[in-house]
Amino acid sequence: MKPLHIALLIIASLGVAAVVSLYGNTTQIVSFNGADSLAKENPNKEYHIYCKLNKAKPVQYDPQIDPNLLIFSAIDSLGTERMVKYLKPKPQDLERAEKMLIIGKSEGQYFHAETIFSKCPSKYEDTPVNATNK
Amino acid sequence: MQTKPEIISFVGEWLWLGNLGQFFSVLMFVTAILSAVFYFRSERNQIVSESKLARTSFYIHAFSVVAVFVILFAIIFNHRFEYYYAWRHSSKSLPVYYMISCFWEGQEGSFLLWLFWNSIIGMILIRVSGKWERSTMAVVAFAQIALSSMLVGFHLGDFKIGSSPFDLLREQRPDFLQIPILGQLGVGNYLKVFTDGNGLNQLLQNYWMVIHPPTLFLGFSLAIVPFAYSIAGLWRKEDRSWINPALIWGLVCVGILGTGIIMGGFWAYESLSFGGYWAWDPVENASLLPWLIMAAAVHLLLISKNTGRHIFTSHLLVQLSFWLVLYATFLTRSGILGEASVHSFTDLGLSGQLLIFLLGFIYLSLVSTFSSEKSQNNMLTIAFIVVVVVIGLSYIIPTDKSTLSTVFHGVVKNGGIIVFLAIIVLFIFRLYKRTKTALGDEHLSSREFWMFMGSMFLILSLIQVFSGTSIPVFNKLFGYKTGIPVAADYNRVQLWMAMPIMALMAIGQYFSYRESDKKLILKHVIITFSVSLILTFLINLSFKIEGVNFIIFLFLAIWVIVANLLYVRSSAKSKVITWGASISHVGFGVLLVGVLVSSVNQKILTRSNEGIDMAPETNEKGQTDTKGMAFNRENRILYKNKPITVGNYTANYTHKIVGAGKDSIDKYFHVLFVNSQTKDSFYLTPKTQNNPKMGLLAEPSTKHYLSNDVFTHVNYESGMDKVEPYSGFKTSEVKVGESFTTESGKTKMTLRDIERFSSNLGVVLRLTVVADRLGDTTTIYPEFRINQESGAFESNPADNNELGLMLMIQNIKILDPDPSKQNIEFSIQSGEKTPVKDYIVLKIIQFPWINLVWAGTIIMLIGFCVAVLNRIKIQRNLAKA
Repeated sequence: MKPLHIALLIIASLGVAAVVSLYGNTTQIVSFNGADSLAKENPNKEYHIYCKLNKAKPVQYDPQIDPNLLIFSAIDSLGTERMVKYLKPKPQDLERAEKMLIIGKSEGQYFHAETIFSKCPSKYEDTPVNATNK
Repeated sequence: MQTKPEIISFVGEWLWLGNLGQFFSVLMFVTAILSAVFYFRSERNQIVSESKLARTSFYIHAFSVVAVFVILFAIIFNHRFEYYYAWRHSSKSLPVYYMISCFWEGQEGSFLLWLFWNSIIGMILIRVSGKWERSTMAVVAFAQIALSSMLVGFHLGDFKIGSSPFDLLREQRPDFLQIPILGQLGVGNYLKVFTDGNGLNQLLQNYWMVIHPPTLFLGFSLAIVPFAYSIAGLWRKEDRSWINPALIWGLVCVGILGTGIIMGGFWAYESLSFGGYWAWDPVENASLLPWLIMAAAVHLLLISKNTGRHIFTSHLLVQLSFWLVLYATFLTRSGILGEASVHSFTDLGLSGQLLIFLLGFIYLSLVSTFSSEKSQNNMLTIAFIVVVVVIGLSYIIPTDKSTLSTVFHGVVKNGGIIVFLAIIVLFIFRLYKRTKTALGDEHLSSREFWMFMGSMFLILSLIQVFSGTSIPVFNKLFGYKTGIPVAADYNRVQLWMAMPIMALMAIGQYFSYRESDKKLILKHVIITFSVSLILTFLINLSFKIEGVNFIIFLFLAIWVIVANLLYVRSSAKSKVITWGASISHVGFGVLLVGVLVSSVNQKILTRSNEGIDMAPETNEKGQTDTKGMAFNRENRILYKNKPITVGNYTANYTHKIVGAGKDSIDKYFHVLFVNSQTKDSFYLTPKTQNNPKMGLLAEPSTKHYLSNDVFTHVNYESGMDKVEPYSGFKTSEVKVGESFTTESGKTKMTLRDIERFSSNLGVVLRLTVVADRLGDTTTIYPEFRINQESGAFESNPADNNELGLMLMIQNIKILDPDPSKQNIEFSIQSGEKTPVKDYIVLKIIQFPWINLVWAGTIIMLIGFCVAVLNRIKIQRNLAKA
């Protein structure tokens, strides 16, 4: 074998390793209950959950007590409700988000969210807000 | 003839403008087709007259593109909100310099921009490409057909080709004509109601957003030229002469695309609040993919040009880079990335068209690898048409539960994936057959060997980013439910992948093509290696980076800089124009040092372990779990005029200023920083905008020093608290000089003074009341107004949120009519609530040496310019010879 081929083989195997490691580390999009059962097998892994804010329960955020603590109730796509704890300030558009993606771990009573992506309906949709007769 | 009653005449529309625009849209589509056909025929049959026709068509096409651009701008500029695009993406209050940004908020505008750049590139190509004009321009014109088709907006029943930017608001949103107020005004007068547009996304209203997208798009557009040369080279059966022009355009593309990407990073850093310039966001990744492969392709082209080796890989990478541009467009424009991106684009239903576009170019690549055997070409064409028809059918046949539909869609999906992969494999196989060279082994001590290795490592890095970014596509194709990788997943791997690339960037140039003097190489390696090692040690005395992997990374980046600087010095007799590669490598090294230091050593100055756990958790053993206390406490609360210590600074929130204009929702929070060592002080003014459509938009504010940046942004402010109503009302009878208290007794007030003045509405009495709530004092001024003619009176209450106090004068009793004695008794109602403090929740990050990132980019860009000039000079010399 030529040195070039050997080097290419090494690089190709590194490539396979990189992809395998990436996919090995990605997580599944699950439900709250799914995250609970998976957490028993692998407590350090973070999971992705699509859910929405449960507006029936109050959003607890009082920066004068702790600016880095937010607690709210969320309902996942299967209808399971869960309290979510987020150790950061309240995301800008939490209340108006129609859907959000939370990434984190299920531990104890709470789902500990590390990241929250909220998707707002109004952000990109057209509403005739300017339709006023001036 | 009598007009039918249901025909409504709409008042005040400028329909002629849109019709003109629509005319030019169709013209640009038709002339693109003509140009492509004539260029293709004239190249195949070598007919000069047709090439003239093709050129004329392309000129008309370019003119039409500009005309469409100008007309769309005129619509936005004149606030013609009868056009959906203008209504959707602009508003009356939008400053002229941001109107251009409306083009890249919408898809149609983005495609128009792409068309525009391609037209410019095409005109340059016509002038400079010489004998390559017909073949390369056929490819460019082909791309223009595809791009123009995105804008023509033909409607065939339910099936739509493209989306016209000249569609009318009332056609796009017929529901708007149903709003109740039009019942009185008459539907024809709808423009009297829709007097203002929806407005441009606030995040795009930033000066970086005026130049970042066009730069990025120019980079994307430029990728077509090396691609066209590769196709043309295969078509014209020219082995190597396509390489130098492809190299020149490739270098321009890498330089401009790189600049565009970093500009995007700078925009994110300056105006988004995630605190950084790169977040491995899927849209950022999509722009990185073509850059990585184009950078590798440029190196391969250099090898091929100088040694005649790896022509196959050159072709392959150049063609893949254009495919990746199309793929990136598909990712960002089809809406498939949807969630989990700061960027967001709505799906205009063009994703099917984008897919056909992508497949069309892959087909073009494939055809170019076949020799002139007609039967094969015909077979391919038939196969391609079948694929397109099937894709079309899959859009027409609805996905319902019927057996036919299920079977059809199953076959289409799985069959499609297999056919697609087969086409790719066939392409690579055919290309290899066509372009393999019969040269012997390359030497291990040759420059080409190591340059090739470096490019392959770039591809390796690309593969990881590609696999991560494509996860939403795989999810859609195979029904997986995989989460998108987070930044850490990329950083962890890319850190190691960059290392061999850097090592090769350091030593690569010391090798000569074909074979090098090994002893000389070893000497250079030892010298540059030791110098860099010492430098790394010295520099890290100040950087204080910890962690073996980071220190190795720092060393390698410094090695890149040192080795390339010494290389320039060792070849000092050579002319500056040949230094391009070294300069851009130095720039890349500087950039990587900046990336490393600013991210590894960034310090969150507001990090603290303060805070009360409002929701303590108990673990299985029943103990209180304090895990949450330890991490991620990255924000602190700043009360007005209560300074806190953050790192070397004291930060004091002194005041806020509400933006100019009556309806302004912009708030600028002025935070005074004082460095406790140098006593140096400065104000930072992070901004918030409580946008009714988008929620709180926070814009950071940053102090730039040479060696570090202090970055702040507001995550929350007291104005966002829910306002508690006043309660505990109590009425007190008070005269000047007397004191009274609120119901709870917490606030003590004294009526100090009465002012009396006349206004055109009557006599106004203004009280000066000094209030004291548990030590906090303030003065408030309730007013009472009496109309002397009618005797009617009106009270003007005063309140203070920070004290939680409201006072309202309910009645007055004049005890002595002499105004100078001011002997009046007031009955004042007081109300109380929990005091609302004026505060902000702030995050402060110190980024050390982030300027190296920008400096590195500029050096890199200079290097690319020098390299391009050098290549153009070589090309001219070749032409003369």
